[in-house]
Amino acid sequence: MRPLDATQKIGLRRAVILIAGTLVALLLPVATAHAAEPELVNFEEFRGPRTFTGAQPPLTVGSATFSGGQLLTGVFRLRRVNRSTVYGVWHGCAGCSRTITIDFAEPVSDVSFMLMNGRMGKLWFEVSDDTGHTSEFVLNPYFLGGSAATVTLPSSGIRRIVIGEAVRDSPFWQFYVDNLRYSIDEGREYLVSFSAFIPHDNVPGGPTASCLAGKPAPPGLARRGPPPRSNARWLRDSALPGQGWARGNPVFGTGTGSADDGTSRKRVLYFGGDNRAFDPAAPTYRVRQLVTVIPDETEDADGVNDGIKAGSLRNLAEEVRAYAEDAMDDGVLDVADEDGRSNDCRLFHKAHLAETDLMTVDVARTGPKSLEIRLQGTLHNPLVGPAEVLGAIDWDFTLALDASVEPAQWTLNGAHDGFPAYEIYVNGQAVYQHDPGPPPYEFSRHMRKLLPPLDVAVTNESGGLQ
Amino acid sequence: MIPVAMAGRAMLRRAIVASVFGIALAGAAAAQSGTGLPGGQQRLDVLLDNISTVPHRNWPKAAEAFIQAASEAEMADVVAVAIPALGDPREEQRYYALVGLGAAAMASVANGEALAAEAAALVDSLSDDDPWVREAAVAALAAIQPGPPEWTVADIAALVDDPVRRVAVAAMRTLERVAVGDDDAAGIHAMLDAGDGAERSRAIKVLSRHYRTQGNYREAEWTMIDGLDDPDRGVRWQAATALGDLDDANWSFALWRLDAVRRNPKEDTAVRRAASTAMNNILDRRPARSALAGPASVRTKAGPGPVRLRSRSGPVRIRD
Repeated sequence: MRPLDATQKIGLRRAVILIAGTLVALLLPVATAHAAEPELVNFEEFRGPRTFTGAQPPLTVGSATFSGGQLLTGVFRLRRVNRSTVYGVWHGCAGCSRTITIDFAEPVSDVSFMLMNGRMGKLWFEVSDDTGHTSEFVLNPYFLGGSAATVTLPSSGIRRIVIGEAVRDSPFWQFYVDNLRYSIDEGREYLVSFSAFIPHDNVPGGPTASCLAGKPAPPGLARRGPPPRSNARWLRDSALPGQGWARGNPVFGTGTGSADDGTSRKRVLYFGGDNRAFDPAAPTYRVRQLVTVIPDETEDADGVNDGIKAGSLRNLAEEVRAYAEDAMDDGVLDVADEDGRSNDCRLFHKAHLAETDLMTVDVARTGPKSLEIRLQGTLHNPLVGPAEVLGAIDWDFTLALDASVEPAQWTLNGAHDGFPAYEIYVNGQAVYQHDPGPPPYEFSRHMRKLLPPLDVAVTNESGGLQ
Repeated sequence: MIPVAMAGRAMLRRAIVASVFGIALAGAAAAQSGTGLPGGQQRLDVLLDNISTVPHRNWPKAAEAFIQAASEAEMADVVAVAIPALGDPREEQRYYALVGLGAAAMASVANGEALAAEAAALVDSLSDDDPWVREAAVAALAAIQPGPPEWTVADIAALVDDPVRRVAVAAMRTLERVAVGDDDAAGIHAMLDAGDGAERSRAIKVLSRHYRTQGNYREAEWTMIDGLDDPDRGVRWQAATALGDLDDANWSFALWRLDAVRRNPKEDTAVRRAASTAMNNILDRRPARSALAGPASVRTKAGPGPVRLRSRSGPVRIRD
């Protein structure tokens, strides 16, 4: 075979490129036919000042509503990365918050946006959404490369995004967002969200959930470190023999008090609550189950046809934190009670990270466009007391979704303990809410409801999805 | 025909009225027999029996009434009713008898201490055919104050392999409250290789207590330090927390590893906070620097809050 000359080689290469390009052009629309049309918010229809003048009212663009900051155009600090209109917050801006919140009128997926650091330091940022996903990343100072990044969120069914610095104890903050992209979930997918939470900031533990103040120090060891911040907090201890910072060791006592000689004292434990009302986008909970379901079997394209969007099922439980009763001297559990030391029976005392292995989500297809979702679980809290296996948060719900009618219909059955609060949402729409009653909570009236049986039955509650 | 039809309607109406009245009476009777009045005013045996005898839709209320009464009663009264009920052929009777014992023990320390005398009966229930009864039995053992008797540990440890996950989890939870023996610890040590993160997490908690009881701090420390590299966040959290609870940790190395966890930006926030707390605990227990062989490996900033090591990214990030 005769070798090709240079002209023929170039011609052949061009022919191959042409054929490959044609194939790509033909196949691309097929591959993306099922993808929803992405929305873009780049603020180019707006024009703002070059410097901060004050927080604006919430700004709605398409389905997205921005709040916490203001629009700016041609920000000097961003000249290396973005000279157009952006949305930002700054500590010196009147009314600006530490975070930028983006609320969506409809559940969205495939969310990405540009985040820009406006400060001189290399800073960590945190982006969290209402599906329980949080990501952290670092951005360089504004005058260096790497001061801006495109953030992509993997979750679907998102209704709210909160953007802020990960460390929020600094008096300074300044950052901006732009080029928000997202796809609206066009009703084919339904994010089912179940949460149990404690509406108040604290719950007293049971009579047997206590700690022992004034434990003796291990032999040969002595407490190091600074004295407590507030003398008032320790005032009550000074009345005890051998106790109190002023007379020696705040954690272990002076060594004269012990569990055996009667000078040590039991303190009731209080658990930190979530301190919130019903909210589909609330970031705090005791336990949460999330699953995105696809009722239409023709759209359930992950190859399993089980009705669950691949990778969307999540069982989550938050850390349970217990505090000694002196943390309640000021009437509330708050950040001031975090002394960063455990097992000392003062302020923050102990934590427990609940395991989620007794939580299950089962989805069963009941028709071509209908599903049944069973949300079931048990959450032990060993800080409740020695019999926490009995005193656990228990729930068992069956939610039927029928998308064969317009609007889609839901029916809920099941049962749960009488405490704490329970809520179920489908695409952010409330399906079920149970309020345990007003605080303060007591063991005899509220915590006892964690014992068997399931106190509240839910029978055939139903409605339509907007 | 017409008068007959009217008479029929009247009879029907009377029948409905009588039925409604009957149902109301039955409801009132049920309330009187234990589902409506405070537990203290009812006999516990009647309340327990009501759980099986009231109409099916009323059993949850009957169960609640019994639990409430049990948690307000003296342990001796509850024992008098519940222990004989453990031999009842009806599983709901056995289950709620055990729940009643647990509820009473949770209500006061004195009750919890009194329950220790009934440990043998509780251990017998660990082999019940019904998994719910087994779970309640092991939970009732956990409610004994200050902890289940040592001789029950082997029976509880045997339930760790129970085919029903709820029972196995409850057994591990109970073992967290007692010092397991070497034989049982070896079996639990094998769970560190389990595929399930929650199982490994519970195993670390039980082993931490075991090694501390045995005084084998070195083994405990290395087990916990290995746990800091586990892929499951729950295991890492448990390992960091347990490391902070050791009285005799190898200070420098433990602190170095915990500090690495604390500073790792990709680490879970709860795990980082647990590492920070553990470092504080270790620093609190650490002998004064003059007593150490060498200088401290970490620099601390004086302050009552969490330790703050030098870091460009600032102090440990705690989500509140």
